Amino acid sequence: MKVTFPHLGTMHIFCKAIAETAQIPYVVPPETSRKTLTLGVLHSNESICLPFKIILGNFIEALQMGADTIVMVGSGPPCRLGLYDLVQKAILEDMGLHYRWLTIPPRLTLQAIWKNYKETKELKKELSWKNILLFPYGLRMGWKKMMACEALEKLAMKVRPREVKKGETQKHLKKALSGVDEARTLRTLNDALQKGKAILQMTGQDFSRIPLKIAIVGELYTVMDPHINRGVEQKLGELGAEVTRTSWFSTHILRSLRKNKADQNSERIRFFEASKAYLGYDVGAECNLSIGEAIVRSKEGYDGVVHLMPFACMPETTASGILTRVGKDWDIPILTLILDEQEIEGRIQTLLEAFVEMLQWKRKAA
Amino acid sequence: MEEKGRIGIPRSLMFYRYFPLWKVFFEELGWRVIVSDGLGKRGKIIYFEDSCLPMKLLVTHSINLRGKVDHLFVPRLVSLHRSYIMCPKFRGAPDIVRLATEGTVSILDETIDLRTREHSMLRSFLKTGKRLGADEKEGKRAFQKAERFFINFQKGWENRINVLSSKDLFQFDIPTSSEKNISPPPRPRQGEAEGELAGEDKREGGYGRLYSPPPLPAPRLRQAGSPSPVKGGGKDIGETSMRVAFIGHPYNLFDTDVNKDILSFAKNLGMRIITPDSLSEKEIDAQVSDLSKEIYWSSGREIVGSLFHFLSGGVDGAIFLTSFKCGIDALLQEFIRRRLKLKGGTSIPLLVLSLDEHSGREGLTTRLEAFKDVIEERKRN
Amino acid sequence: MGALQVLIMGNYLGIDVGSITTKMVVINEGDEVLAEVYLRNNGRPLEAIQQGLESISSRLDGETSIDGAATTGSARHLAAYLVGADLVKNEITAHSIAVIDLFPEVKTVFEIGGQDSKVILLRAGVVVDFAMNTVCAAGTGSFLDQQAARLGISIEEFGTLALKAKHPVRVAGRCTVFAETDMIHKQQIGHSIEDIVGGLCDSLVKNYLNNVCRGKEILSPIVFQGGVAANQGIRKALEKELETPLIVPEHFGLMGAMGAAKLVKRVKPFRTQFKGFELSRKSCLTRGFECSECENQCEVVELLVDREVVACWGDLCEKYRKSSSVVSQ
Repeated sequence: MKVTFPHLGTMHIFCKAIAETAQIPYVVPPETSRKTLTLGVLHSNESICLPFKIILGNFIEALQMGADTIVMVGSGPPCRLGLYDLVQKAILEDMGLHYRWLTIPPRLTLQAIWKNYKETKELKKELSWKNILLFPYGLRMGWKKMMACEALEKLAMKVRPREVKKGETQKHLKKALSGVDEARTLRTLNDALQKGKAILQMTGQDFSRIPLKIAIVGELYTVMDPHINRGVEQKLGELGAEVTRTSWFSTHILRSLRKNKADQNSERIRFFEASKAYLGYDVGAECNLSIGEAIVRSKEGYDGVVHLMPFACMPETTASGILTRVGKDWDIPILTLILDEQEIEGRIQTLLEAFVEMLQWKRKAA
Repeated sequence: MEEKGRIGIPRSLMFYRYFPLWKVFFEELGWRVIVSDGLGKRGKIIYFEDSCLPMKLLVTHSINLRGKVDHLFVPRLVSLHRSYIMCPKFRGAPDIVRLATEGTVSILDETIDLRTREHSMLRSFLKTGKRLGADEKEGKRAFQKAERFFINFQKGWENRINVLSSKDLFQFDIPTSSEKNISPPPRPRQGEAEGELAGEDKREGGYGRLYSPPPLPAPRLRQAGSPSPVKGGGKDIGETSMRVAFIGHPYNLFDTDVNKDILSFAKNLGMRIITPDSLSEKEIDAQVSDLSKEIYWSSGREIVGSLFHFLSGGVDGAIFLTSFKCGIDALLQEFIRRRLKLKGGTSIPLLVLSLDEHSGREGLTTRLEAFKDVIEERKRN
Repeated sequence: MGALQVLIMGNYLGIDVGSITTKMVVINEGDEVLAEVYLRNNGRPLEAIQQGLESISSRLDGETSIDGAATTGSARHLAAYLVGADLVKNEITAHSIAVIDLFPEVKTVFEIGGQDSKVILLRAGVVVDFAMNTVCAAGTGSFLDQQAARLGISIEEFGTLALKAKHPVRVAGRCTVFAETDMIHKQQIGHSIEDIVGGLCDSLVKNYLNNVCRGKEILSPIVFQGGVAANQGIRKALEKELETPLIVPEHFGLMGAMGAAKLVKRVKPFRTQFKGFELSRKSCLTRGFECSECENQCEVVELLVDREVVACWGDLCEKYRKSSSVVSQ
C-alpha cells in the first residue's frame, strides 16, 4: 500500500507527517506544475472548476509514481466540491489507472462513519498493528506541523511588505517550511518552528513603511493554494501590502469537527452575521463569508479586498455579483480575480500592480 | 371579489415547472398574475452577475416587471425534494434580484425547503399568503386548489409539449384532448377571481419526483412512460415516429430564450418528445442508487438517472441540453461520459448541446438534423 | 535661471510592448511628441523593439538625447531588460496617467488592444476602479483581426465597411469559433458583407460592455483608446450602445507609451539606464531551457545581447538571475 493525497497549500506537509509517523508508505505528488494542470485539463470538462482539474492532475501524477491509495478529504453539498470524488473516480477508472479511494468524511455523522468504515475495512488488512498504534501519534504530529506551517505563513505575510530585497521573505519562508517538514519528533518540530521564525525575522526589513492592508477572500482552494491562484498572496506582499486571509487548512478542519462554535470561529460567525444585510440565506461554501468579510474589513479600515474564485464557481458567482454592490456601499475597492487554466499570470500581475497603486492613491487622497 | 393587486412572476428558472401552481394560488387569493414577456430575438439580457444564462434571465425578467407589479414572486428555492437540494445559486437568487432591482419592488421571497419538515411547501405559501393579507384558512384553501390544478396539469404535460407550440405551453385555456377532464383555470377573463375547479382529482399527493411532500412519495400519475407510447392526444404523431428523450433542467428544456425553441424544431423533424417527467422516482433511483456518493442536487440526480434509464432502451435517441457555465451540468456531463464508457457504451445515440446567449439557432438546428439522420440510419440497420 | 532650465529639459522615451503591437514615443519636458512609432510584433517582440528603436532614432535629430526610459505593456519586463529602463509600469496605470494629463475631466476610459481590453474609472483625476478581461479574448483586437481575415478583408477596410451596414446581423461573440460558424452561416444565407461586419462590431461591443464593464458605473465623458479605437465601426457601435459620444485622443494607439514616458519624466532619473539606440544594430535573442536541478523544473529564460547574457528570469531559486537595475515600482 502506498497512500497519496492532493496538494493544497502546505497540506501535503500535514498528510506526509501522519503517514510518516505512522510508518505508512506514501507518495507526495510532484509539486503542482504546468504539467499537472495540463493533465487535469486534458481529462476533464472545460467548465468544471479549476481546483477539480488541479487535484485530478495531482492524483494522476501520484498514481503514475506508484501510489495506489488516494486519501481525500470529502466535502458535502451544496457546491461541486462534494461530488469531486464521484467524478474523479469515474475518470481515473476510465483512464485505466488502478487505485483505492479513502474519503475522510467532512462531517462526522453516523452515515459517513459507516461509509468510511466500509472503505477502510479493506485497507485495514494491509495495515500492521504498528501502523494502527502509531496513527494517533501521527495525527498529533500532523496537526502540530500544520499549525507550525500556518504560524510561519502568517509571519511571512507580515514580513513580506517590509522586505528590502524583493523575494527574500519567500526564500526564507521556503527554508523555514522545509525545516518543519523535515522534523521527525515533536521536540525537533518545536525547534524547527522557532528556527523558522528566526529565519523569517532575519529578512531585511524597512520598518518605516506603513503597508496597505488587503484581505484575500473567496473560494477556499483558490485562496489557499498558491499554484491555483498564481501566488496572489506573495505578489501582493511583494507589492507592499500586508495581506490577511481567514481560510486556512485548520479553519476548515475545525469547522468540520464542529469544534468552532464558541471561539475558534467567532471571526467566521462575525462575517456571516455581516453578510445578512445582503444575503438572506446561507448560499454555501464561502459565499456568505466572502461578502461578510469584505464588509467587516472595510469597517476595520482595510484598504482593499481581493476576491478569488474559480471560473464558473457556483457559490462565488453569487458572491461576486453582490460584492460589486458591497464595494460601493462600504467604499472599499474590491478586485475579483476569476481563475482558470489559461496562462494568466502576467495579467494577474498587471491587475494586482494597478490595484495596489489605486489603493495607494486612495490612501494619499484621504 | 375585487382585484387586490398585481403579482409579477419572472418567466425563468422554475417557472417552467411550477407556474400552474403559483398562478392558481395567487389568483385564488384575489391577485392578478403578470408574467414577464419572453425576450425574443433581439431582447437585451441584463448582465448583473456573470452566471449561467438562466440566472441572467431571472434578473432580466425581474427588471422588466419592475414598475408593472406590486410584488415580485421570487421564492428562495433551497430544496424541492425531501432529500435533495437545488443549485446553490437558487439560494441567493432573491437577494440578487433585490440588488438588481435596487429595492424598487417588493419581493415575495419565502424559503421553500422540503427537507426541513412536513408540508414545507404549504407552510411557505401560507407565509407568502400572510404577507399578502390572507389568513391561514384562505391560504390553505388557495394552496390546495393550486396543488390540485398543478397535479392535473402535470398529467397532461407531455402531451402539451408535443401538441402545443412552445409559447402556448402555459396557456391554460388551450387544453389538449387528454386534458378534457380538467377545465382551464378559473379565470377566463381578468378581474374575475372566483371560480371552481371542475373535475377535481381526489388522488392525494401526486407530485412524484417533481415535488414530493413528506412523509410518503405519492404514486406517479403516469406510470413508466417508456417504452409504451404516450397515451392520449388525438394529434399524436404516429407510432412510427422517433421517440427522442430531451433531458436537462426544466428551464433549459422549455425556455425558448435559452434553447432557441429547439423543441419546435425537433417536432418539425418528426420527433416525439419524451421528458424525464414521464419517469417515476423509482426508475430514476434505480440508475443512481449504486453510486459511491449520492448526487445531492435533485435536478442533477434526475438528469443522470433519466439519461441512463433512457439509454438502456425505450427511446430512439437522447438529447442532453446543458447551460454553459452551469456547474451541475459541467460536472455531471463528465461523469455521464465516463460512466457510459465504463458501462460499455450505448447503442442509443446521445447528443449533448451546450446553450448560452451566444448559441445561434443555426448551430443547434444543424446538429439536430444530423442527429435525426443518425437515428434513422440506425433504425434502418 | 535660463541655463538651469536648459539643464533640466529632458526627453523621455516610453515603450509599450503589447501582445500584438509595439508602440514607442519620445516626449520632451513640455509633453510634446518628438517621435512616435507603432508596429506589429509578428510574434517577435525583441525584433519589434529593435525596429522600433531604429525608426524612433531616425525620426529624432542627432542632438536629442534620452534622459529616461520606461516600459509598459504585457512584455514590459522583457522590454525593460533589453533597453535598460528606468521604470517599469503596468499598463493600467500607464494608460490612466496619459488620460488624466490630457483630459482631466474624463470619468471613464475604454482601452481595447490586441488581446487585452480594459475599462478604467476615473473620478476627479484618480483611478477608482478598473477591470480587464482575464479568461476570454472575445472582446479584443485579435478577435477582429481573425474575423477580418476570415472574411478576406483588411482590418482597415473593416471599419469603413461596418459604417455602411444597414441591418447589422446578430453574430455570436463568445469566442472566435462560435463567431466564425455564425458568420459563415450568415454569409451563406446571403447577408451582405457590410451587415456581417456591422454585426461583428455590435457583438464585440456587447461582449466588452457585458463582460469587462459588468457592474462598473460608466459615466461620460468617456475616452476610447487602444489600437481598436482606429476602427470606426467599433466606435460607432459603442456610441450607439451607450448613447453618448466618445473622445478618441489624437495618439489613441500610443497612450500606454505616452503614459510610461510621462511617468519617467516625473521620476527624472539622475542617470538613465537606457542603453541607447545602438541596440537596434546588435544581435538580440532569448533562449529558454528547463532547469532540472530541483522538482520545480523552472522554465528559465536568458536574454542575450551580442552573445552575452544580459538578463535571466523564470528561476524560482534565482540561481541564474542576473542582478538587474530595473526599478519596478
